[in-house]
Amino acid sequence: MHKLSPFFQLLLVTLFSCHWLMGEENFKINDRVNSVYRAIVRIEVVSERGSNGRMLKSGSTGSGVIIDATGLVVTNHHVAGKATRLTCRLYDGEELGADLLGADALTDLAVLRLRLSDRPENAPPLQTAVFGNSDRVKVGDICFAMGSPAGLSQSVTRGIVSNLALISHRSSSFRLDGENVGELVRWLGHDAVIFPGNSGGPLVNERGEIIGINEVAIASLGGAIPSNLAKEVSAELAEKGWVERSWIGLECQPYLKAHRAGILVSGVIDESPAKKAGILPGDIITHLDGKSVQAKIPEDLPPFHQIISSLLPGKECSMRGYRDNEEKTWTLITQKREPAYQPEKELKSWGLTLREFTLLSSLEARRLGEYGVQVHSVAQGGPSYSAKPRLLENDVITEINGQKIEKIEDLVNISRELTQDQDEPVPTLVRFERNLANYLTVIKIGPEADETRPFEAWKPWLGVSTQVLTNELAEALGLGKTARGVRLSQVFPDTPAERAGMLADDLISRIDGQIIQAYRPEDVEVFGNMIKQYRIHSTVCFEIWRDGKIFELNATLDKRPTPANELPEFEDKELEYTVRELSFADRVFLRMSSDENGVLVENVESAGWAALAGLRQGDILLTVNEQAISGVEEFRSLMTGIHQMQPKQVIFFIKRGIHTLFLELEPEWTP
Amino acid sequence: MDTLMKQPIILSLLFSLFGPVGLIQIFAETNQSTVTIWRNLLQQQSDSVVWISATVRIELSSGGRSFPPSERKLETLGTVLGKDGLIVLSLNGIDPTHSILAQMRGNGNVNVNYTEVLILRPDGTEIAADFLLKDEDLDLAFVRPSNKEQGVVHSPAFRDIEYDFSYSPDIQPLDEVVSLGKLGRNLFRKSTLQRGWVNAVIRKPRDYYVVENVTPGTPVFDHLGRWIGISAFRKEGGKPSGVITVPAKDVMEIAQQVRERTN
Repeated sequence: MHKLSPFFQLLLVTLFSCHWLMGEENFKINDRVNSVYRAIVRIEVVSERGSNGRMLKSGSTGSGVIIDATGLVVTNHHVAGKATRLTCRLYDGEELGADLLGADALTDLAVLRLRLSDRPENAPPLQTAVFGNSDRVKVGDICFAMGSPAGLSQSVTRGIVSNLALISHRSSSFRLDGENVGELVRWLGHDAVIFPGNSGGPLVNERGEIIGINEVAIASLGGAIPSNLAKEVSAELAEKGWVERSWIGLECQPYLKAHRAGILVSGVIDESPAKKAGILPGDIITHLDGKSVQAKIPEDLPPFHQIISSLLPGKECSMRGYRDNEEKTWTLITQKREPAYQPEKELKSWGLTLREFTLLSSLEARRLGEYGVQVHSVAQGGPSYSAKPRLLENDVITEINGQKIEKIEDLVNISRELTQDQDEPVPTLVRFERNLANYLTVIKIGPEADETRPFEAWKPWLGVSTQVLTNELAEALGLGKTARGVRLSQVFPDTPAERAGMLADDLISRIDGQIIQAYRPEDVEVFGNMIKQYRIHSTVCFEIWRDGKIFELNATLDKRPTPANELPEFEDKELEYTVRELSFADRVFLRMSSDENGVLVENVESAGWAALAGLRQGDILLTVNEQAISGVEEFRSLMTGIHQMQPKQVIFFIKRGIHTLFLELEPEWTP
Repeated sequence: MDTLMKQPIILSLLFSLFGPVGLIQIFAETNQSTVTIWRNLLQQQSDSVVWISATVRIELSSGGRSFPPSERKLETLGTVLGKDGLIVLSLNGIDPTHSILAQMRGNGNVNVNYTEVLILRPDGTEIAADFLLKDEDLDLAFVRPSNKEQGVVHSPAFRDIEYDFSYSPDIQPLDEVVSLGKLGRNLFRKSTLQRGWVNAVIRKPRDYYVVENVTPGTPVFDHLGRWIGISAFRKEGGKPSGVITVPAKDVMEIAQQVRERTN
């Protein structure tokens, strides 16, 4: 259990002191506000989004507020809606994991439940906050914005309510998962300072009630989702994980003629209830289900949309209005509103992220029916990218080897059947739609094809490191400005150079009578390249300058030590990094003696679990869960065991330059 | 005795009358036979030169950050070295590392993985192959049909170059040589002969021939039609800076290394 940080002790003391001076009434107000402060949580989120054929992980922080003693937390969808891991830090520093119960893109709300079972038995009860009535909020009311701006610990800012119907005038300006967030929501505008990271935190009135959930910042104003809407949506999310709404396929805009109230129909979606009822663009709606409706300005539209979405799906409802000044009545049966898009899923063996269709996305794609699976992104170099023709974003996979694909699950099951017990990629006939045309392609799915990385031809080696004898250096060493060659900066033990009697500090000016044309720093490879031109075991004559004397030494070149790309490596596909054995050059470069062990991190996939934990290319992995690593084979066997056990944490102890540090990897293991 | 005395006189007379014409005829015959020998190469050994296609997956990283991989397809000519289908080619033709590093101004790591290597036959057939070994200094790469493709290697249209291990060519500047090549797909992959001349012979630190008018990856033959080497790029600072011919003996020595390390 963490203690309150000194910074916050100071902050609270300061707040309390100021308000003490301001009088008893103000102190009470702050006591209530302070009780909400204790209910806010800082949320650390690991979320996933599909891109380049993979689900990329990223870390972010946001805010939330605890609304009941069972650990329900309300926050924004854009904070936690795509989370794969959630960690909530309470006001006193206590950290708890949380599970996402549901998220609603249309209102940008999400509900989490804290894992209270992880708390000790004697843990203090959770402080909770209550929703107030946002309909009673007035412009000018004092309000407090609470949250964790920029990922800081919990903070409070103060302001007034500035606007009761803040909307984004460009309907496409704020979209989440394809939904227009401003369609249903009119934000409470306020001037309490908020910053990225405040998202999901509560806007609180003087009575210590939640009047909104902070979501946006427009110019100098913050925008909060009104508490009445947030309360209703969060209750449904907590209960069902989703929000039931109706849809009639009507697109509306304000009706500008002042002499008549109503809402102008700007569009009607094909196959929708509104279309079937015979509503046409240009019609004016004046009544919906017996209630009078009108919209003179864009701010009037969200309440109309709220009425439609609150109707029961499948229910008959009536509309009244005008067409060409003639009164009209329409009867329609509402339809269940599906999300604009389904969340994307990764299919590794295909190198794709995919989405299923919803009613709206299939209409957007001008398709009849929701069968088939839509390509969301394609991994460059992956199986689907390498096919001829390759799959592209928005293609729709409809058949594999003659079997119809309705949902992603079909694709997963058929792929599993095809690739089971196969050790090579399986060519698969795929039928797909592109721009309503029908194509066939062959995709090699399943185990990745062995990528050939060729050996490097054996090369000769002297066993030294050198520096170029620059003009300045040559002059300073008394050799004359035109001297050419290299200086031995290091002679490695048990090498041809050492056996030939070469010493560090020797200057080499010629090889087999040829001047080494190195005199600029960029000539650093000249000497090595000259050596590489020889055959292995060639005996080569070197002209040496040592202590003012010139003499010759013959050295018989050895075969070069195994290069890095031919050393054993291990790719951890679950945690997404690759390590390999340390090479001779690594040990020299890292000043590691032959009795020091470890493996070198050769690659870290961006946005993978290892990358999230802070592992970097070039790190030396010394221990895993306190077990020392002597080489790749031992590491492979250790990690295979860890993969089977699937612990919550894997601790890597690494060396980075002269520093060492512990990294905590906390993956969501593949079941 | 008189007869003996007279013979040189008669011979001198005959030589002065017919000698120049005879030499020209002999020279013409020799020249004719070289051309014939080379034309025979076209008939007999053109299938030892093949097109190779390589699909590479390129991973880039810079400053500890990895970028999404990308893919490229490259094509180049190679020469079949043995009955096992081992083929030598110019590494530069299938290795984009240098050009990518040049684009990145040298800052970063380039990892090139070969996802598909194919031997392209004149009739359009593709044979899957493995990229086995590279020699960056000599600009040579070695590929061989994959194990599962070994059955097709011995088909009549896929043959290895003839090499006489006991032959030590004495190549001299101005020697006339020929290289065997193949045109691209747009010209129906037709076989070609390119005549060239030896401009220089380099002995240290190892043997090279500098032959003009040859294509990297193709075999070079002397006037007797005997294979003397493979043309490749000479590199300087990793960049191609000229074309040389690596002696056949050196090529076959590395080929042996390939077999030892991969069989």
